[in-house]
Amino acid sequence: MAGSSRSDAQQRCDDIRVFRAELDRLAAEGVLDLSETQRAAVRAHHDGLLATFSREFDIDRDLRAKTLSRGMRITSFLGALALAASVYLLFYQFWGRLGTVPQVVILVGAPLLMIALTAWLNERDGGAYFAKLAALVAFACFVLNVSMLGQIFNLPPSDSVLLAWAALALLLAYTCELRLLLVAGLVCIAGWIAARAGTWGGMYWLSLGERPENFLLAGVLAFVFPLLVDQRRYGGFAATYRVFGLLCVLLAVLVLSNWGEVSYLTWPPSMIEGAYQVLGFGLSAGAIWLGARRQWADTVNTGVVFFVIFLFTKFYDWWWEIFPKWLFFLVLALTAVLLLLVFQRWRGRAAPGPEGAA
Amino acid sequence: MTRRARILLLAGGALGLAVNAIVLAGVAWNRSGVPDAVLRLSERELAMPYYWDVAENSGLALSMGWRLPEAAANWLDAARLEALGFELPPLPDDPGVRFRAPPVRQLWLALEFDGPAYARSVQLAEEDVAAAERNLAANPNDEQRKKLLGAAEFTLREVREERTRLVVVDSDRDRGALRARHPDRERYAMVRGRVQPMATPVDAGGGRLEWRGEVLDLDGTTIHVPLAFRAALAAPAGDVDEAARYEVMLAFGRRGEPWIVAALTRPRP
Repeated sequence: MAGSSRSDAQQRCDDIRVFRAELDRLAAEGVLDLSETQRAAVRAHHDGLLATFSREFDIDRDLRAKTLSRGMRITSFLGALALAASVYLLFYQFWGRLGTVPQVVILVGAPLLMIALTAWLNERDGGAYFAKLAALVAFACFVLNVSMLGQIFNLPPSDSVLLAWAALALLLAYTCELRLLLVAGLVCIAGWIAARAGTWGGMYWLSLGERPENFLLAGVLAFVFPLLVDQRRYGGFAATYRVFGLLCVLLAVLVLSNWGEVSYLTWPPSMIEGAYQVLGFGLSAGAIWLGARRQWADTVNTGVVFFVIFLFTKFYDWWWEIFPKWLFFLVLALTAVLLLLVFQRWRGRAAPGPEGAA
Repeated sequence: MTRRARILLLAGGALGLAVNAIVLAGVAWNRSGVPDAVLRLSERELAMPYYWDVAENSGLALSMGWRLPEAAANWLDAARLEALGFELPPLPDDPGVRFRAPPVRQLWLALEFDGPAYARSVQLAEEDVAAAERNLAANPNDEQRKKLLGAAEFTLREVREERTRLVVVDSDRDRGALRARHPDRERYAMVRGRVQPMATPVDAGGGRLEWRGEVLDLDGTTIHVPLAFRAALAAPAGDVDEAARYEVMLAFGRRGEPWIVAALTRPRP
């Protein structure tokens, strides 16, 4: 497998490291001892691959580098936050002393400059830390750009802004492989779809949260998107889409299962709540099943969390008032133990043997 | 240059330029031609920020103060709400029964400046003072009646000298229809706002409910002050008696978005 993306290259590098360690163990245990020529050939091949990956993708070649790069990711995220805050505060400190034309020129120019800097850094360090930091600041500058133009010209808030922000966030996310901006883009798109759905129903767009069903379509679209468009070249993107989609759908269902009045359905509120409670159990159980079947740990975990939330919410409705508090929490604890036993049994049955995928 | 960097540079640049071009073209369109309305407002309607940390934020924005007519003259009753497109469900006789409030809608609203609605407010405040004076005359030594008269006089002074004269007096889904009903462009501005029907108690016990409209907010109530007009307005924030007095010509454009066209300092009497 030749690495076509940074995540592919990193995966191959990790595989090589594990292979070398296991080869040394097998040699020490006398199970497999390659000739010196074979060893040299394998080592040279792997060294060549690693050198290529390092040059093209700035991968972590060993555990130390991997640990350090985690720290660098955190540092780059914090640096981006601080830099974005600095840009905001700098502009706010001086903008009142500028005429309208210089204000507009600065606001329009700042994101364009940051996009150019991001592109330059992306080329220089293969989409690693500095490019990601610049990408986050470019997005922050663009948000500042559009929102400050709104202030300067007394414009009313508009949902179209969400679409513009989403477009840049997704562009930066895909070109710099930056999941944080993918999430930002998805939040903007979900907000825009929910706002549009609400507007078609006669609502004001900023009241989008008053009808949680507005978010269902966005959640479903986010969940199925990686099934329709291959995301393997972008590490963690498919999981991000799935978790985001599930959160959109299950959070909306959770709200509706407790607050039937905010539904578009015209049934009595208590019937709506009951229907959404059943749907919530069904969807979270379905997510667990689908995640286990397709080996999507993210989907299983999200499904489990929501299944437990739906279950505990019902327990609260049924028993909080009538049970002594110690008994209520004992029932919760026993339910957790029961769920653990179910999962343990399921895991034992699902394990395909020593060659099965984890 | 790599393919990704090239895509980012071209698509990102095009996106940034296109979005800004659309925003600025909209602003130019709104401000083109003769303004839809120009109101001559004062610090009563456009207040300086109560707290302004100029060291952290050097920008200045005025807050537009507006209000609805007094409760007795509230024109947003059930019939008007239905005419505005709200579907009002029947209200339950029992206040404990759950029901759904219709969602917020965005509508065009007519803002009247220093017109009949404001004159009615002054008249009501004057009537309150007259009633309090009559009440006190019947028993001149009653301390409680003296206090009531003092409060009524204070309210009248506030209504006459300090409170905003901008009153939301009408609403419609169609801006043209609203303008046709209020053609005076120096007294009425058409702005977008959000209206929500509320189940409002209409008897003393609060048991009987009726639908009444509530204007939640209006667009463009935070007015940015361009640098050119700062000198006429920028005075230290704080106590209203110490603050500067000013007049601002506020124009409303084709899309109902406001902007300052002139500002001048007014001496305190």
